[in-house]
Amino acid sequence: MRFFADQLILGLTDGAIFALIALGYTMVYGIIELINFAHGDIFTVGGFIGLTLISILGLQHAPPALLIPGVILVFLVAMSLNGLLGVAIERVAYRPLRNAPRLAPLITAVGISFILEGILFLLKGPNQISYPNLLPGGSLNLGFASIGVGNVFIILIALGLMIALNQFIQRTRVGRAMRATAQDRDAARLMGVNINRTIAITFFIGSALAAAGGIIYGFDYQTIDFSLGFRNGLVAFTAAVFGGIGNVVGAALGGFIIGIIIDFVGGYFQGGQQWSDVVVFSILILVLVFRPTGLLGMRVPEK
Amino acid sequence: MPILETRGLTKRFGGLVAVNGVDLSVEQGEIFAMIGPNGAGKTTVFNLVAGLYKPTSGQILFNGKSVYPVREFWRNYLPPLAGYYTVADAVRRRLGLGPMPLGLRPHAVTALGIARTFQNIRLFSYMTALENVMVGEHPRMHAKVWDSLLRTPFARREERKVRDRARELLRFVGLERHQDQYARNLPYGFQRRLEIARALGTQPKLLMLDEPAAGFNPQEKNELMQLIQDIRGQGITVFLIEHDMKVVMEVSERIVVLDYGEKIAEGPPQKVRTDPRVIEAYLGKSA
Amino acid sequence: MKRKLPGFGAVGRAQNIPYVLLGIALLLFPILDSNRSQVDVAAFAGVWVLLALGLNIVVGYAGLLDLGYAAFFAIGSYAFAILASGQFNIHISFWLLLFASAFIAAIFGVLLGAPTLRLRGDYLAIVTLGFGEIVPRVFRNASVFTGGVNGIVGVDQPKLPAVFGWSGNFGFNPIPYYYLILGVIVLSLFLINNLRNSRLGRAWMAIREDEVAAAATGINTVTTKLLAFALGASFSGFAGTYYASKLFIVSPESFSFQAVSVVVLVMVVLGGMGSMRGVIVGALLIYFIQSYVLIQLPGWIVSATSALNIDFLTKLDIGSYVQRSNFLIFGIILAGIMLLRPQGLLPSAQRKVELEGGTSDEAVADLRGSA
Repeated sequence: MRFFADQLILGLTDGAIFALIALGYTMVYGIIELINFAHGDIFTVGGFIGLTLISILGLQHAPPALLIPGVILVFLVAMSLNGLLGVAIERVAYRPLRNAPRLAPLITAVGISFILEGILFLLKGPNQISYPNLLPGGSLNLGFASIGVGNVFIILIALGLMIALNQFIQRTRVGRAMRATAQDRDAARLMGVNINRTIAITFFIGSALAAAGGIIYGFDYQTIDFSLGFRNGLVAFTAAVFGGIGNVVGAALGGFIIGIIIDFVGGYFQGGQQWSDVVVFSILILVLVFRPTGLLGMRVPEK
Repeated sequence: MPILETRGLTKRFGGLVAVNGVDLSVEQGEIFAMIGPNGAGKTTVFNLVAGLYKPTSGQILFNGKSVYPVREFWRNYLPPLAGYYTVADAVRRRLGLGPMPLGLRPHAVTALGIARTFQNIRLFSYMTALENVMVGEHPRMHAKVWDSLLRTPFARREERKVRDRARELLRFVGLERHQDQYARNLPYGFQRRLEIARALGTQPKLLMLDEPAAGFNPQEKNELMQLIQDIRGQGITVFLIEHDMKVVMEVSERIVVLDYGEKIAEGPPQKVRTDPRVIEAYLGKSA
Repeated sequence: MKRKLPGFGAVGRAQNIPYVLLGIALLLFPILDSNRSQVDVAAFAGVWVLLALGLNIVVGYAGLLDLGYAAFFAIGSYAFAILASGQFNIHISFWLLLFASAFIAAIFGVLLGAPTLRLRGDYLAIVTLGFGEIVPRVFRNASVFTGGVNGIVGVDQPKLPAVFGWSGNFGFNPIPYYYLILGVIVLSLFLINNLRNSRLGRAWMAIREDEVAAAATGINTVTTKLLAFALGASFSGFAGTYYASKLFIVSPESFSFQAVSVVVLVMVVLGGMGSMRGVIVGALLIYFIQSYVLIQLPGWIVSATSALNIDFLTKLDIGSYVQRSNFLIFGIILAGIMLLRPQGLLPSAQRKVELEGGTSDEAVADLRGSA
């Protein structure tokens, strides 16, 4: 029971990170039908921006009173900067190819992914870099299980961001424009929606959420390296597909489910950690083959 | 026996009924037209016959045989689905909904002898006119992968034969001088003709033309009507959707009128022209 | 047909002279290179040319983005390494396995492709990416069969009957490998050229241009795409066997996305999708950059900066940056080519018009019309 609870908490924590990345995939796919291969690396960049901000502010050694506003500031600045990075990538690399043959933006996205990874590799080198955990330590003892306070914070931060996103998409004018553009770009344009701006905002939000995911990842694993984005990006994409690509709630749900699956496979089977990625990617293939609409997805007809 | 027959053909998209219980019968060797206001479901009927959509219910018969045979279904899909099919089929029959509609995939429909053109021309833009028609002949070719890989004598012979036939078809539609031009560089009218030539390349028994005269000037329309007559002269049944009344009335022998997915009239041009329901559909109830 | 690879058909024509000379140079190359080190490099470069030619069928002709091409390469390598090494003491003939592993890879291609090729194109990209990640991991984890992380060392090497005083053993002598891969590439060019101007090649082009229209003209889109996928995979499997025996060892690390799949994609994109000439040049260029420039350049820079004796430059340690820049270079090539010159360096006649036109307004109208 205790082991089960431990794995569940681990899974939810990992899942929160995957969910934050998956949201970016799903939003971008929903609006321009592009698998943004660079998104995993945008996540890594976000983590590194957070790390840089933390060391600039010297938060590792900050007194508790300054820590909370400091962390909030780090999140806000890193998310904004990363959001701008996402917007810049869209502007430079994807927008010119919006009407090109389908293969072109896909290959470009792979290229952008490698550019980001290459820059991080150049600047940060091949090694793992340690990341301070600024979340409170300690654990809550619930009798049947003890839960790390840090894990609770991570899950709460992620849930908070997701709820905020959902409110934004459902309640605001811009959110409505995003939904309209996702459904029918031409009709939305005729209704006076500024398509370019809406797409840019989508990239901004997706990348900002990825930055939050990157910082949380750093807090959780206390290490970061240039190549994180590839594996985590693919897992998060699996989560997005699992939940139903284009569906924001689905991506969040898929993230948590995939996180739990990974930690259960890793925890319950002998040598399971080696196989957990194989399991996840197999899920990806199976879902795409047998239920491409995912758990909650809309129908995506073959065009 | 009609070459093409639909019985109670119905297609729903979500809550929208695009085609509702349409019975059609196209006779061997005739020129048959389908008309109706925009959104009446004409192109949906084409897409259903061509296998692009699966009917919600109803049957499509080509030369008296169902276009949706069960055996094809087994071959095309995973065997476990056959069990699902059997159950679903039994339930539908019990409920009086008719047999479970199953689809041949579009290429198999074409192989049966039904060819089509598209309302918005869909040529292979970056292939030459000749290549476009040669692609059309694909289902009538027999070269296997090995023939293609090794360029066997058989493949060469077939290739030569197909090229000659493609040239002949281009001559038939009047494009023989443009065979080496990329399809996208051809003028609009030529593109429509090329699409017809490509469809003829599949050696159809039934040719479905979706608004072939759209955007044509009177001169081009006359040429098109002549072409349609010539195609029928080759023994090919022509089934067309057309908005241009002059073309429809002059070229077709029988006309069916759809409105809101339902058949509202059928018969020779003179009769349809004077049918009050048709006039109402086109001009509105107030007229 | 105008689009014929020069060098085939009439050899006597004037425009073919460069190709004939190139052929002679390639044949004489091992004799000119006395210490054999360049022949060794060339024998490895041939693997990449073969891989690029195979991926070009999938990406260039059929228009399917396969990001898991390394998986088939790994399958070919491991199939050979397991069946021809001390691992289980099975020693099946190299020549037999060369074709067998191409066949095995093709079967895996079909197994992966049959369900996934019904999906839309970008889903295929991600499915193949996932598959490309699974396969090396399985090989790494299933250590009973594959030697795990260490891989399989001591893979058999080909033998031929002794001729002209040569024992017929390939051993570690690069020259027979060189001629073998040269022969295989020439054969592949012949086969692919045949394909391109055949029933199948036209069907691929048609599918790439407009899948719905292709289906309406009677092309079975799923099986036709599957054939491209399987043929591409078989090239990869074939290359894998050759690679394993030439390298003498297989290990799971050599088949990652970064090490193979993307590199081959970069080769194809750089040279020009759908252009055999372009793809070969792209493969050689990337191989040259990766195995020579990026390895030698740091040394040159170090010697140059120390010769200049500028303390500042020496401290910057540009050399180590250069060494680490391969990801960046690949990324820039992929994105840059797609944005600036989508037809690649040496495009084929058709793809040139297609991809150049692809971003113009006229093509937008095409897309809208066919949506």
